[in-house]
This record gives sequence, C-alpha cells and structure tokens, in this order.
Amino acid sequence: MNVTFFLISLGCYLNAVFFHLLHLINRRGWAERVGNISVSLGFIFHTIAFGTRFFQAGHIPITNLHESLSFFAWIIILIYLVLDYKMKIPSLGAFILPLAFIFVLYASIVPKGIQPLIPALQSFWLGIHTVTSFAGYATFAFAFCAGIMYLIQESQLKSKKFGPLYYRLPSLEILDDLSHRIISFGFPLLTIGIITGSLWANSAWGAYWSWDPKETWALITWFIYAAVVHTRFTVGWRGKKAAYLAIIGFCFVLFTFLGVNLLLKGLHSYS
Amino acid sequence: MIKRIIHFFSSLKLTIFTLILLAFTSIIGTVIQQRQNPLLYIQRFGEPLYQIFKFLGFFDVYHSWWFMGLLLILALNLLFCSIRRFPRDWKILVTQKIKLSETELQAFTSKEKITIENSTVDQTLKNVLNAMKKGGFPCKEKVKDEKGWYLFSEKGKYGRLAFYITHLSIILIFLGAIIGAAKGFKGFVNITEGEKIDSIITTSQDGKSISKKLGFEVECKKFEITYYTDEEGNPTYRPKDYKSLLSIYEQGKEEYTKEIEVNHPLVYKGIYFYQSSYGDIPTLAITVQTSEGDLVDHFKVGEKESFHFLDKNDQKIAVQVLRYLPDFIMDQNRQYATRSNIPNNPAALLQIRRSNNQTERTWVFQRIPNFPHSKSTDYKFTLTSINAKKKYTGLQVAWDPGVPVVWAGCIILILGIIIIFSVPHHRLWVTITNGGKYQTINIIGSTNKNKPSFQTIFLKFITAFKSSLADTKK
Repeated sequence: MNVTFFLISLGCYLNAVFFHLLHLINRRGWAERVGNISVSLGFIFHTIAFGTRFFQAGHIPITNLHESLSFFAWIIILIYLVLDYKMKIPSLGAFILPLAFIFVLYASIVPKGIQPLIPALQSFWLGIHTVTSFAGYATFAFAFCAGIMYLIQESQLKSKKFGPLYYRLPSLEILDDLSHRIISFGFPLLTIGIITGSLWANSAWGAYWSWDPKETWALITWFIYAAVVHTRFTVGWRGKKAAYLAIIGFCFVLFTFLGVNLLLKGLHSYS
Repeated sequence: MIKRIIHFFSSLKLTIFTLILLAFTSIIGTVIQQRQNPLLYIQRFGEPLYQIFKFLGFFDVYHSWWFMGLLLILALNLLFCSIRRFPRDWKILVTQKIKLSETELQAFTSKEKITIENSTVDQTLKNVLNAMKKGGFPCKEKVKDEKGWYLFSEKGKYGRLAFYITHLSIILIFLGAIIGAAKGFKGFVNITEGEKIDSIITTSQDGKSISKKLGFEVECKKFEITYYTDEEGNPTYRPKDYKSLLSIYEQGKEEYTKEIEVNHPLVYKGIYFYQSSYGDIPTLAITVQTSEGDLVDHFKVGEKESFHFLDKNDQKIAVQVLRYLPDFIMDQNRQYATRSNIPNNPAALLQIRRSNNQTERTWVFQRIPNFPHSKSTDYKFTLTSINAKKKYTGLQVAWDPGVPVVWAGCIILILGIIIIFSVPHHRLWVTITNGGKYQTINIIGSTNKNKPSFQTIFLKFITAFKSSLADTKK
C-alpha cells in the first residue's frame, strides 16, 4: 500500500518538474502555480506513503536504499515548501525539484520491500541519527542549487548576455544569502548527525570512531562545509568561490550517501 | 618574528587551507583498505609502489605523521584564532562604547538619519525611547553630553561567546581522542558457551596480535539467538537478536552478571564488552570404513580435535580435524574458504597419521559422501552429520578513558554551533543631536554575523521606529 502512495507522489513530482521548467521558459505565473500545486499534492501522498510504511514496518523506515532515497527526497520537498512559503525565491523549484525527482525515481527502481531490522539497527539512535543526517544533506542540496543559480547568473552578468534565465533568477545577493542561511541550518544538522552516529557506534560497534568509510566521508563532508562556513568571513572568498565550494560540497554529500555504499566496503553495509 | 608566527597560525586562510587538505587526504584511507597484512598490499600494488605507499603512510593514513600534523595545525589554528580574537570581544562584552566618534560612524553600512522639527530634546528623547521599544530594540544604556543624547541597544550579546565554546570544544574532542589512544585499549575475544576467559586479543600498531590479561575472568553462561521468520512462519537465517549472559569473576568469586546484546554492552571497571558476533562450535560425526566397506567405528569430534583407531596389525592410526568449513567454496584466489556460517556444504580437512609417522590429508564432504579420497588411504572417511548446538559469543572489548572528554566536547560543540548560527549579536546606536528647535537622530546598526539578513532587520526597525515617531507627533 505504501508503495502505491509512493508511486502516486512520483507522478505528481514529475508533473511539478515539468511545469516548473516550463515556467523558466515561458515566464507565465500559472505554470509555476500548477507546478506548486503538484508538489504539494505529491508531498501529501509521499507523507502518507511514509506514514503507512512506518506503521507496517513498526520502525522508522530509513533502513535501506529505497527508504533512504525516498526520505531524502521527502525532506528536500518539505524544505522547498517551507522556503517557498517564507521567502519565495524565484525559480528555485525549477532547480531543486528535478534533483528531488531524480532521487524519487531512483528510489522507485530499487527493491522496495520492507526488511526486518538486523540487531545493530535496533536502537533508539536510528531515528535521530538518520533524520538529522538526511535533513543536513537536504539543506546542502539547496546550497548546491543556489550555487548553480549563482554561477549562471554571474556568468550572464559578466558576459552582459542577458538570456531568458537572467530575468527568472534571483539576484546574486539573494542567492548568496540563501546559500549562507541554508548552510547555517545544515552545518549544525550535519554535526549532530555525525555525533549521534558516533554515540550509536560507541554502543553498537564498541568505538565512537573507527574510520569506517561512511564515517570518514561524513567527516570529509563536514570539513568541506566547515570551509564553506568560514569563507563567509574571509575577504575574496565570498560569492563565486563560496558557490563553487557549495557545489563541490554537495558532490561529497552524494558520495557519502550513495557512493560509499556502492563502491567502498565498510560497516555501514545497510542502506 | 613571534608576531608573524601568531599571525600565520591565526589566519583564516590557514583554516580553510587545512580543512580542504584534511578533506582530500582523508579520501586516501577510504580507497585503500587500512591496516591490512603487508603481503596483501604487495600482491595488489607490487613491491616498488608498496614501499612508496608505506613511506607515505597510506596504509594507516589517519595515524600517519602528516595527518597528525594537519590535525595539530588545525588545533593550533583554533587556539590562536580564539586567543587573538578574545580581547576585542571581551571589550565589547564588558565595556560597550556608547559614544561613537565621527569616523566610527562612517564605518557602518546600516545607517539612517531623521530630523525632527518643532520639538524639544526631552520630548524627542521620550519619543525615541518609546520608538526603540516598539521597534524591538529597547534602550539598554544612555549617555548625555552638551550636544545631545547617545542611546544604545543590543541583542544576543552572549552569543559572541559561542565562538570560543565551539572552537575550544573541538580541541577538547582532540584531547579525549589523545587520552584514549595513549591509555586505552581495544580488542576482541570469543568465549564458548559455558567457558571462562581471563585475557583478550588486541592488535598492536604493526598488525600483530597480542594477548592481554584483563585482571578478572569473564564467563559466557548462556548464548541465545533468535531468527526472523519468513511469511510462512519458517525460520530464516536472518538473525533478529542475539544475546549473551556474561558473568564477571574476581579471584573466582562472581561479582557481576548481565545479559548483553547488540547496542547494549556490559561495563565493568570502565571496560566495555560489546556483543559483536557469534559462531558455532560444531561437533562432527565421522564414520570410518575399510576400503572393502567394513565398518571400523563412528566418531564424534570437534575442530582441531583428534580421534584414533587400530588397523589390522593393531597399529594406531590418529586422525585430526585440521579445518572445518560449514559452507565450503573455492574463492577467487583458489583458496578453500567458507561462504557463510550456515552449514550449506560442510567440509572437513582430515590429517591421518600412522604409527610410522607417515601423514596424509584428505577433504571429506557431508553432501558428497563418495568424494574420491586420497588413494594411498586404505580407509574411507565419511562426514555423516554436523551438530552445531554449541556456540561461542564474539565480544569486542574496549577501555577508553577519553570517552567522557570526547562526549563533553561533542555536547559543547553541538550547543556552540547552534548558538553561533542562531544568536547573532545585533547592536544599535541612536544619537540625538540637539539643534535647539529641531533634533537630528542618527541610527546606526551593526552585526557580527550575516550582514544582508541584518539589513532586513534594520530596515524593519527603521520602519517601526519612524511610524512610532509619526504616531506620537499626531
């Protein structure tokens, strides 16, 4: 049942992506509105899917690849809806929604069955660790999009070629500010995610830090975003360099989330 | 010279440089498996590359001299930054300047000028104080001189301290890690159900196994495992839970008993015993026949154990089980191995020793009873059944006196980082310059954090401030 709801939300998101991209080209307000209604609908179905799966499994459903991808996309959409309601960043949806859609699509093609929990995962930390980590990752997805939008806008300003995107994208200041604000949420979340993970590791694996590939990559990501946070206060590192770092940072996030499990051996063999 | 050193170590460029360098060098240790047997590395990389990698510490990156060096630079950087910054912040916290000079006023980007006509200083002061309150920045301090009034308001003053808390907490975590590495130990031990141990196996820095005495005994009284069932209710091999009942003995006297499972360790004298794995202690049933097919005897034997029987000439023949593999396969390197702990394809390597000390070896398989055994053997060995009721529990054992320090550091880090990003220090100066019948009001705002978002707050304040002043005029 949860899978059905999940697939309906997938359809809604696809629709939303289409209309948000259309809005970039034709600059009609209705396209964006249709897109946002689709996102909201998709989010409602997605939430129901999450809830029913939680109920069916009897534990928070963030324990394998399908569940992790789905939750990651869910939290991205949640943040998007909050941001859209509070700040209304023009064209943000056209950048973040395709990204979220890719994760939902990926989640739809991997095995979707509910598996019983292995002993190491039966812990109070499961929910706290996964939710904070994914919330952190999701904010970085926004910083990534803000970075890309910043670079597009910057190159248009520099070359003085004002394409259709120029009028759709927010100003450099807004993008830079958005990136900073969102990272000031994400960085503490990532920190909490890593620390709760090490608390958990201490009770499950017998050491709070074992340089397991997943741990190490999370720390690498932390180093990168620590650098991003500090560039703010250094002259000459703002704006463009911060945008590049936010983009690189998100590549590290993706590798920490997916690459480590696919390519490297380690203790985090689930998810 | 000293000034230059301090300057170097407290620079923000060094922070960013070190962080990025740490990030990229950390990758090495996730690509090359760490702390493996040197032979494996030589096989994989070849001798010359192995020597270069070994010299660079690539086989133990996170404990290499240069990685430690980078962490040390980071720690020094944190420390020097905090020291260099402290006097300025202390001044702001303790003695806030209320009267700003003309040049100081010019330095701020958030400013506003308002002129009030047909009013007295006292009236304007009253209105301004009220307007400040309405705008969300009530006046905290005020000073008067011959020119007029100087008012000051601020928010999130102690948020400034979060900088020090956060940065020093990381040094605290480092300290905890150093204490753990210098004084603590980590090891493992397997205890057969019903048996006691008094030492564990730890790994030295060069990868050798060393036995370490605990100073007390640990008994595994009982080991229990439950499996998940499939849809039809049949048990699967997916473990749901495994538990060991452990007892601690001091000089033969039972001191403490606890049932442990994954995520719930036993702690005794600061030493943690974690449930980490388990395995079978199998008993093999082996039947011996002569090559003509006459039964010699049945034997029950464990791994590494032996049994013996007499041949036609009453000479002793001893048989030892050298190896037992529950799920026999030939791996990629053409080595005999076991795929799992589940007895899917049980196999045993037997060593047969005759009275003249002549030995031979043969593999026997439960699933393939007629597997062609060694030709010179005039006896046929069959593995008839495996009894795996007896189990051992695998425990991780760790003593780390640095853990409380690390946790303290972590908690402070979380608090500090949240405060840093959510409590900016906003300061507002309002000066009223008296021109007799009119007064000039100068408003200056400043923040230690994100300037664009402060600008929004500042403009909101100005709007509220102005509308409050306009209201009082009516």
